[in-house]
Amino acid sequence: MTEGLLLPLLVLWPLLVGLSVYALPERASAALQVLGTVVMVGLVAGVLASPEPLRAALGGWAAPLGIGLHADRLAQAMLVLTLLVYVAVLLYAQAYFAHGSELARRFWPLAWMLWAGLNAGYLSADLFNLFVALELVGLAAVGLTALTGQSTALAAALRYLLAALLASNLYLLAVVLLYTSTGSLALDSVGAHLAASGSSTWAAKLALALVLVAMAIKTALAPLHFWLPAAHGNAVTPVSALLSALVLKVTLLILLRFWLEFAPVLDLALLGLLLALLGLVASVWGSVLALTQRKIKMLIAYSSVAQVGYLFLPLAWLLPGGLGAALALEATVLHLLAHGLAKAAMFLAAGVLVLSAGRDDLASLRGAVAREPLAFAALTLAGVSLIGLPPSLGFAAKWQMMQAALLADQWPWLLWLLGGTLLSAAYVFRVLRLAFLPASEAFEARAPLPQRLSLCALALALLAAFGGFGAAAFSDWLAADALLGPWGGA
Amino acid sequence: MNALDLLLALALLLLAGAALLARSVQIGSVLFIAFGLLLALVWVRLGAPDVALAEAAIGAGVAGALLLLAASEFESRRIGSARTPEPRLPWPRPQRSRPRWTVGALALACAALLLLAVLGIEPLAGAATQAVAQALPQAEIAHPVTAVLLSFRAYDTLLEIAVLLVAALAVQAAPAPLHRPLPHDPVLARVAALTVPLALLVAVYLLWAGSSRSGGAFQAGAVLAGAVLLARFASLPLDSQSHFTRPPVLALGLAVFILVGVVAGALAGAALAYPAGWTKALVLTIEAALMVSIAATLVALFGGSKAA
Amino acid sequence: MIEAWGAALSTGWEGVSGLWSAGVSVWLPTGSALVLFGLLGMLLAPSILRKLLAFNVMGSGIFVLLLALRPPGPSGVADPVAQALILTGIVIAIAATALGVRLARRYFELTGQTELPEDRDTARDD
Repeated sequence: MTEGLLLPLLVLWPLLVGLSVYALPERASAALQVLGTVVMVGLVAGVLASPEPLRAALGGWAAPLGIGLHADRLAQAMLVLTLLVYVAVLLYAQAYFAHGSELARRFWPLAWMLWAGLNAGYLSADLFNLFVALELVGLAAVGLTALTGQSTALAAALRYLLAALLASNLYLLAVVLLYTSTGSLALDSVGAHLAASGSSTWAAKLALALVLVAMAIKTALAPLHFWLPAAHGNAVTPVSALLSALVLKVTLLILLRFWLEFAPVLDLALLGLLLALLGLVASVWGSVLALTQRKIKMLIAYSSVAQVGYLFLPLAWLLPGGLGAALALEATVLHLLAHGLAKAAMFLAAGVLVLSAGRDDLASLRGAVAREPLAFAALTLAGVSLIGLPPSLGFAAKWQMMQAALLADQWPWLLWLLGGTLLSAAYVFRVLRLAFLPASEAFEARAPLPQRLSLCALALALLAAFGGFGAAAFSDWLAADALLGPWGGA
Repeated sequence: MNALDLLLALALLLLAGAALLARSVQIGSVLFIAFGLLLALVWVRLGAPDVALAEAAIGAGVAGALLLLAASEFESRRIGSARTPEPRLPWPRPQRSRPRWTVGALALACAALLLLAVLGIEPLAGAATQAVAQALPQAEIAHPVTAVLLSFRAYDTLLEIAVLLVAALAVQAAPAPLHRPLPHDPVLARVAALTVPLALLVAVYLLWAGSSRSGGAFQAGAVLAGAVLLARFASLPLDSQSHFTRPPVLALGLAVFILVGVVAGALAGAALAYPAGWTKALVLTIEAALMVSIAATLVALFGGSKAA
Repeated sequence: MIEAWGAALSTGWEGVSGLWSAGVSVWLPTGSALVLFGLLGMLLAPSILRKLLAFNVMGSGIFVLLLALRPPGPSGVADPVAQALILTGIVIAIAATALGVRLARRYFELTGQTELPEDRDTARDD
């Protein structure tokens, strides 16, 4: 009985917490959120502890009549990532916002509803339910982007909203095509239905293309990344962390799921190559633009554009019967984790530095080593993972990618991966170098910032920077071969 | 029959095109409302009366009113500015070169592909209807659409209510501009005094009817929202202090839905399942709470209370 | 621009009457055309409100396609799952539209602009 409730509670509980924080008096907010987080830890632990990946049929109705939830290893990894980032961000936000401020009161309910939406996206095994979950995530993210209500935030939020709505409609169109051709809304049966009915229908191909474009927009794959820099760079720090670390990931996960479902049915080799090339362009373009930025948070936002490119590279090798497919999948998941942790840590640390200097520009970073050593340490460690130096998670991800490329006999990608490492190093060092320079102006004495802020950033950064040690154990646990199902790679 | 369909389809396309190309967004919004009402007719034609009700109330009514309200706001503030509006095409060529024709051609190509794709799909008449009909007795709900919304796919409905609430939360950062209170209009007040109670009755009826025929929480909520808004515009004493749009009211529907889903689900063995024999009562409770919350959320999304 | 619209519409007309005589539902090209209109509107229209309007038109087109491919059975009632999906879609669309309209109104109140910076032209009506 409890098993049937565990998965839905991962979505229903954060909704309930968000509702309570919204509707109940403000003084109960902290206690509610502590309780909420503790329960979330318990729920995620419960899911991980189960020997078999859990499934749930909501309402007691089996798919395709009802909606099914499935917590496979991919979903579990994302659940853990989200939990870690959220704990850090919530603790951070408690100290970041002025106590009882309007901004904080608006932040909490939206943050919890976003958490519910993210979990819903990870767990859902139903085409239309994924659409609703994406909308929940999207509107919550737009609301968080607009949080301050200033005109720059509003413009960024509007741009994000319009891009997200276009993408959602494209996805909805794909769902309509798939439902009407296969008669079922269950994601795992799409492949089987298409294979049985003669797979190369226009409808199936168009549906896949629509899903890919829609998720590319929502994940901000260049050249469709136009909405991201303003949204992530201008938002309040805790929001930037959530958006870059988590919101970009759920859409990639959904793309992965569709990819894995369609790959046995359609020939995706050319499409994979195209997406990988776009990823390559994105990683160059994002890194170059990051180098030219003058504001810290915009630099980090453009870094996200570059890192998203890396997420798309493994699609070139993620093909059935292809050597290196399992490694490619592992690499993607490792990269999702690495970027999530590192980017959140970076934004949180940057937030501390911005608060301490009172300004957002890079020049104000001078002397940061002395002023905010912990935050600077967090920034450095996060940078280590972003560049991909051992023993970080970022390195583990890149290592797997290189191995996958070698196995698939596509070694030119190796050159690119090394080159990309250098580019990322360039913009990270640009930031770090400034911190060692002596401060060019005296910063007015401000009240010392709570240590908690830097510690939250540091915790995530440590996980990212040293996570590589656990990479081998992780890849055993992930069992990418099993995830790939019948067409597992080498 | 087919000639009527053809006429409806053409009218629909004409209205859509006109709404998008209208000289001003105000006119476009009005045309859009007309489009929505015609679309409701099309839904009836396609055998979907529930959808027709929702389209008329929400799709045409609420969406059109929102767009019209905003467009009128933009227009009225511009009247005071020095710029003289010149007649021009609604989508003029911008000064810097933009790939309008490439985008247009691309979109046209995609639409052609889409048409090709849908033509290749076998329209399955009555396919899922059978599966639903078979499971209906076990679901203990008489009306198939309500059964899908609140039993088979109740999780979708729950998340959709969350989406609505999130929108209401998100707009808190953008408070609606305060309007000067409208001068008291006795005719409007008299009409409203008659219409508002009637609308309340219709809302409750729609809610009750939803269990056995077309209707349900969404349509009822939209009608209820319309009643409250009308009362506000007509300066009726209903909800002058915006008690209706306070957080507990907005949160009520989702909270009830989740609590019933978890508690009843624990008893029935799966989340969002109803124990045997309790379905009708639980579904009605959920729908009533949803109706109130949906109405309150829609009113809150309109924004701007009379307390200026 | 008007000529291009006229050409597109007349092509659609020919397609429809051709298919109609073949016994295909008229709603398939209608839905596709609505999706096309909405897509063009979202991509090309400069003002935020128009984009939102186009978003709604596009959504309606998608729903028309859904019901066109799920015609009513002998009972005269269309696929209840499809109906439920459309109902959900309508509510979600209104939530998104309402959010967009409120953000646009506040943006206008603060900046006097009805368009995002990248869509801006010289003096615009509307």
